[in-house]
Amino acid sequence: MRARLRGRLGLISAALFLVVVIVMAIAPWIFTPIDPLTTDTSQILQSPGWGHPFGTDQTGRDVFTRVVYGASYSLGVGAGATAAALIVGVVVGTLVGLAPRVVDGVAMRGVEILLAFPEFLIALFAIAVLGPGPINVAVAVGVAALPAYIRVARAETLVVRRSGYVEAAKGMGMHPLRVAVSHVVPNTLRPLGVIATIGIGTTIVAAAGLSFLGLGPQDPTPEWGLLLSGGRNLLGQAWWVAFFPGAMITLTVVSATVVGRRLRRAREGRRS
Amino acid sequence: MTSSREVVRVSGLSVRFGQAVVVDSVSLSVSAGECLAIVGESGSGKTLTAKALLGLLPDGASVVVDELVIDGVDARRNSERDWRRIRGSRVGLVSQDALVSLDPLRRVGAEVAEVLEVHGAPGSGERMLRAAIVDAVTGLLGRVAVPEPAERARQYPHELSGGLRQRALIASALAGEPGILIADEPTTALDVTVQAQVLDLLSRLRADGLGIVVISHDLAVVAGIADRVAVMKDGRIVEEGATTEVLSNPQHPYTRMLLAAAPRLPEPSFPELVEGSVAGGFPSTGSGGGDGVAPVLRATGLGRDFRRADGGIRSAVDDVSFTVRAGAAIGVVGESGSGKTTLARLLLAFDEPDRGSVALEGHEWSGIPERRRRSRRGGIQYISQDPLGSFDPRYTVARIVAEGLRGDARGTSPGGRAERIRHLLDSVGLDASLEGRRPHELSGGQRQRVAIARALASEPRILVCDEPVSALDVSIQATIIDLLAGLRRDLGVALVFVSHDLAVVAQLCDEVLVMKEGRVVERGSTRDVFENPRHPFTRALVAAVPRMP
Repeated sequence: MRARLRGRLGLISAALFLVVVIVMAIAPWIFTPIDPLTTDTSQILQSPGWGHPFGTDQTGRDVFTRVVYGASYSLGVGAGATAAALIVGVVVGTLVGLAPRVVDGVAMRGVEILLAFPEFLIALFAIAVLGPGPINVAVAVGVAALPAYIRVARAETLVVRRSGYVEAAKGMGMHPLRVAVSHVVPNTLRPLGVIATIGIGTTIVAAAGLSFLGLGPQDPTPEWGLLLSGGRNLLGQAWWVAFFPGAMITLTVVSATVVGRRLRRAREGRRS
Repeated sequence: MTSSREVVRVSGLSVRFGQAVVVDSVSLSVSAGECLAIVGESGSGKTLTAKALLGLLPDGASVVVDELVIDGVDARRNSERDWRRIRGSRVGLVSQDALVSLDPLRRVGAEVAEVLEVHGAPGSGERMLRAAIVDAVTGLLGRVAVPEPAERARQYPHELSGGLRQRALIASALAGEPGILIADEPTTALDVTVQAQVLDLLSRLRADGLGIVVISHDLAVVAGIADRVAVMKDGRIVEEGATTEVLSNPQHPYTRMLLAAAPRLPEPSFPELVEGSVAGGFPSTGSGGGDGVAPVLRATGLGRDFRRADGGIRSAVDDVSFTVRAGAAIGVVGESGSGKTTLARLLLAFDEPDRGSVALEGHEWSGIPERRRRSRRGGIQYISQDPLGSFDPRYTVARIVAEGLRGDARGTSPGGRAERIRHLLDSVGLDASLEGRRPHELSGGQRQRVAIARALASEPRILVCDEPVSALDVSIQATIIDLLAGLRRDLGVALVFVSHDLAVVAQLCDEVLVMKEGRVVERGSTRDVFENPRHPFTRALVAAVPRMP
């Protein structure tokens, strides 16, 4: 009973945290009156306190404000890249799942080659081809996530394709395309939607990682990975410059995973 | 302690989940050498009653019991540890599906031996030596009539047939020499001839002095082995008594309903019995209107081969020919693996024959591209054993039925379509209020009605039904069969009815094909075939059907 309550608490706090981060991304000015780019040379490297809850950085910018404004970029990349990977993954995965076996075989071996490399390496490779930049980070992270979605979408398609209701639709003389649109795709989307919730966390980490390496948005832009890298050299004298962005990344990813897992469990429970 | 020892005595057993009472003050007793059958439909609480005797009730169940004596020991306050000591050594359990109950990665012998390893030698409880265990296992398998027990013990469950698996399961239940055996639907997954053998085995064990509790949904199955029958409904025992008494002179209306709903096979020796039974004859439409008109469906020399694991070829269907005239009903019976389902799939053109051809309404149906079939598919529709699987889980009842409407009906106004859907639901006896439900919110019988409504939407001339009532309770089964018979009468829909259940076929069909290993071994009018079977296989099949006295 206590364990269950503790699980609930974790879930509720994770969901609440995500809601706060989403509001930060949409309307950062609610949380802070300061502009994230304002420098104040009289307030360099202030430790956390009343005026600056997360302290200030080496040019006197308020770290709290910059973390709040950073949410929109990190969350935007996370959600955007995941959504793009999901859509492309479902389309490709469904087509591959419905295609003749030869096409399916060739396509899936290709996907497996991509899966053999760590996602981050693929993202780095994509950046190397596309060149650095904020939009390219999103594209690179999306590309890296894509093979997994294709694979799951294909597997789900194969299951749905052999299901009784697809056979029933065929038996009613329905055109295969219509079957794909009205039965196969909607039923593959359900499990994928849940997987994508967990995937958002991974994507945020990957995007922050690329920014940390300086391949994403450039300095004055408040982005969590970039903030983390900016504070890296100051860890000895001003831990707060790196700590708070890092904590935000960690908490956001953990929360997204907790909520995603819970959704998945709910789905599987309903299925059986 | 009168004539024989009581091995189980339960009184006032109630099981509830929260507010719901699923077993309601049930009392029963079984003596050594006696067989008690608990009969009821799904949800009657029969399985939970049996599980209570083993302390196997699921979490969340709260149990109240006045008396619970198992093999002479009061088990009311048993801890999980106490139960573990009892299970296997005093009470043996045989469950429905042997393939699931046996560990696929372990040899059958190891499965049986495990009981001996856990409980030690029966009686003394001493640890047994390896060699002694092997001997005991071989002996046990021999006792349940497994041929070549020593060899079989070294095989894996998937290498055994369904009947042998069920025997192995019974052997493992007997290993600890329990005084009582609880068998939950022990033959439901088995073919009728195998079922007869397993029932035979159970009654031999009973004669050896074992107390047996058989749980079943099928009165006819238990009629042959049970000394007493307890009929359960909604958690209560509504009637209990000697088997012959209950079957010949049922007191409770529910028992009467169950008996009336059970499909019966015409008795070979008393043909006139059929006339008066519920099976009631159909006007034989088969010969009447058909002459000169193209049959609805014609199969000519159908054959379909599959490659076996060892590279050989197995003919699942071989040289099957028949015709179905408008409004006729033809039954296809046989055991599992006889090719019935493959044949149904060939008729529906879900699969292409390797030999022979199918013609639908006089035009070729097999061997043509799917796009040429598509517009004609409405003419032949399919009812499967598993309606739930044939519905998109996201769809509502109305949408499921709408999917079956032909192109021309799709074009009509939304109001006209809604009207048509209501009409279809009405024709299968479903209330319009169910339109908004999703498949998982329906009962088994309702689901099968929705499946039939969808099939009727395209105004088919023929329905291919593959075991459409096998998964349903007897009383529901009877209503679905009535529905199919009514559709045939009122709409003139022809039926191909695939089933392992001879009695159901006898009730619905005027012609029957008996299949064995892909071939039709006997055919003819249903009455002829079942009353006067000529082929030895048909004879065995008919003889194996459990009959009520």
